[in-house]
Amino acid sequence: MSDIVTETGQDSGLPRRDPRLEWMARNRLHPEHLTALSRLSGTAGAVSEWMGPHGLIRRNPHAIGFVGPNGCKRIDRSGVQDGQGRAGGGQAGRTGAAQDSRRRVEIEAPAFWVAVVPDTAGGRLTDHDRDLLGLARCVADRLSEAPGAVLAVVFDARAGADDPLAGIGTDAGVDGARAQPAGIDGLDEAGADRVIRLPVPAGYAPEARLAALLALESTLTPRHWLLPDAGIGGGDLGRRLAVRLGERPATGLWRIDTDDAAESGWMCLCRSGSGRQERRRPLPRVALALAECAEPVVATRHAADSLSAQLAPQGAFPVARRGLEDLGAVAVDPAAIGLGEAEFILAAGNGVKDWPGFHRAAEALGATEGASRVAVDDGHMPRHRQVGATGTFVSARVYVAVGISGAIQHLQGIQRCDRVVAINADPGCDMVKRADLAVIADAGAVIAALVAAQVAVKKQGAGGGGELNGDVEGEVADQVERGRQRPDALSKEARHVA
Amino acid sequence: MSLERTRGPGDAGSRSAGARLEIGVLVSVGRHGVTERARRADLDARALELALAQRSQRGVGEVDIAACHVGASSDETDAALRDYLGMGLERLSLLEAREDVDALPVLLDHLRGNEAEGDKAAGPRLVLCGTRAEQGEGSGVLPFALAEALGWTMVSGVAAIEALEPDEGGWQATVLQALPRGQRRRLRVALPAVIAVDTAAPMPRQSAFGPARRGHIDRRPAGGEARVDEAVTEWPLTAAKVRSKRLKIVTATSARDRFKAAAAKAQGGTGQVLTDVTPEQGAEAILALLREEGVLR
Repeated sequence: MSDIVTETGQDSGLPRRDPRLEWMARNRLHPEHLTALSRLSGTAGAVSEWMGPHGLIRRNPHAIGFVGPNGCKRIDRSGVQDGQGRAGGGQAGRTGAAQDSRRRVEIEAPAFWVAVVPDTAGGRLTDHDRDLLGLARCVADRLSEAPGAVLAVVFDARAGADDPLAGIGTDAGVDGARAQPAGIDGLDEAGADRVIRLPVPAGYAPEARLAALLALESTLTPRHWLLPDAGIGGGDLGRRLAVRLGERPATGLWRIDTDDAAESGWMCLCRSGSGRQERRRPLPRVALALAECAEPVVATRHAADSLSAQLAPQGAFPVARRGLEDLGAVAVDPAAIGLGEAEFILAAGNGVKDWPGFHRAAEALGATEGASRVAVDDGHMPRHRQVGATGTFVSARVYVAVGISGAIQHLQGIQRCDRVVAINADPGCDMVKRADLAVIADAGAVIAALVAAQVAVKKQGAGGGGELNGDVEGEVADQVERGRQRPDALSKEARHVA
Repeated sequence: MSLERTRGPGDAGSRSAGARLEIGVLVSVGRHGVTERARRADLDARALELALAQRSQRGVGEVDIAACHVGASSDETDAALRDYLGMGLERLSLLEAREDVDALPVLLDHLRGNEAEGDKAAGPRLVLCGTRAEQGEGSGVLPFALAEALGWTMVSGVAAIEALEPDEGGWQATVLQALPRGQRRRLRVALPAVIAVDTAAPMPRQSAFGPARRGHIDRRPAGGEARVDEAVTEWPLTAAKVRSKRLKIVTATSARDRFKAAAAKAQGGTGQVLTDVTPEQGAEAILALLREEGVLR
């Protein structure tokens, strides 16, 4: 075998083909067939796929698959095996290129501009923002010979150290306070050709934001302004902008259709405030769109470059009237927040044995309490705290399931949660499969440790126990002990229904 | 801390003589969600509830409530307006105008009316209203347009009025604004201002029959420019179409990908599982995630 020349020339780096080796690889009756295959692929095992002399992909079914439990050879075509075999081989580059097949679109000289002001809750694009950018793409790309460009307007809140809202990640409105200076990810995938970052004060400053948008209006004059019609973010700012520009905005927009009779070339359908009626009208300059107004961009990638300096507004934006002052977030009792709109839920199931400890943990972490059906049926929690198909469908950003195994009805209820944490003794339960982070341990011990850690942090930070009363800390310490001393609880709570 | 600073002089000021405030409330005729019968609009009733709460808090002599409605007089409208009177109002003005007339110039004329008479401080310095109407277009633009035309401050999504106090040269309100996720934000608003009230505001009190009968509807012809709202005739409202449920879009390039997408089970599968850890280690990992998400206060 020493006489076989390798495929790649060592010195020049040019790919060199060895016809004899390829012939041996094709001829599976050749005594050195498998060796030739592995030589061609450059890996130790036999290769299953290679490029033939005419550019065709050749496959070797003998090199793939495994022997099943009944002694038959099985080939798994789900791609799992294939991908693993290929990972270290010479084909890796080709597979990687196939993964991102989105067309890259660059618009150098746009015929017009469509400005989008996403809400960017918590410094990220929301689904609503992506739909809105999809709508903007639709409007901008209508005429392929003169395409417009989509400009994403992002507010860069100068979040100071004393910013009261810096730690709060609620939706629209407080977004600016959390916006990272590095910018928002995924604007290129979502369909933005250009991005502009407008500096505004942190917190609720609609007047300053409006002034920034008006400065942009004077330098760029976009053909359309699109904002999400949701709450006090885009809904508030968009109406202010429309009134200032003297436009009658389209609110509750949920569909657009092309119409050459209309001045803008588009007709839109707008829901009335009650949602029972709608109005068909030409698309105005300012439009506030509902979620799912258009499909988000999936097939293309866009530049998302910064807007050029001569188009971007410079200097400070004059604010016409300063009648508002943001005094910061107000501490809200998490127990008073409805389960459906709670941001952070600590939910208990059958695995929780120490109910006072659970309530203490919810208080210490500042979480809203939830429960599985079993916990409610057993009378540990009130009915209005039940999460799931028969209770409340929740949309928390973080959902911590303590001792909940995850019945399908419960999992349906937490479908819209962003991050799920499971604390469970059974590693095989469905909740652990659903969770982003699962801790396989006794639930009681873990929540006791959570409280202990959180109390320690609060004590360190504020020089006291915060709003927790003094005796809680003492109880926490012996609760940790009790949690450790209950190994039998582990086996008992392993199987339970949520 | 800044809150206490404002509250100090405010408390003193409210007791001083002549600190009298007029609150305007814009009320509309609502529609019941199921029966579609005329009733008081829920959000406007919440706005009136905030105003009534201020009056009972500060005393009847200190706060005047001037509620007004623009629209055509009819039995349906009167019945709905009497719902507001039943909440404890003595009188309510009905600015009679045709249904297709733009309400903005009428309201501007009404609110500026007192200023024109030379008594600049007499008119309402604070106007409360619901975020959007329950019938008609209900776009929610009117409060913004009103504030813009009057040059007043505009706040939307308000859940509570914490304080109303005279400041140097004017009045100041401290309000709570409803954020998503049940959160609240405190704002200081310089009056004059238009405040749009959100569904997070307290439930309106029940309308009582006796006060509703006794209350007076003050009818007067609408002033200002009676401009027909061209949108009403040009773009008529139709019954809403059902929005189709969005389908999951699969952009697969091969048959295998399409099959995988069709047969995929709803599961993450990418989560991190910590086994054989002490409770303290587990708690630390959870707290790190909570801190990363920013939900810990």
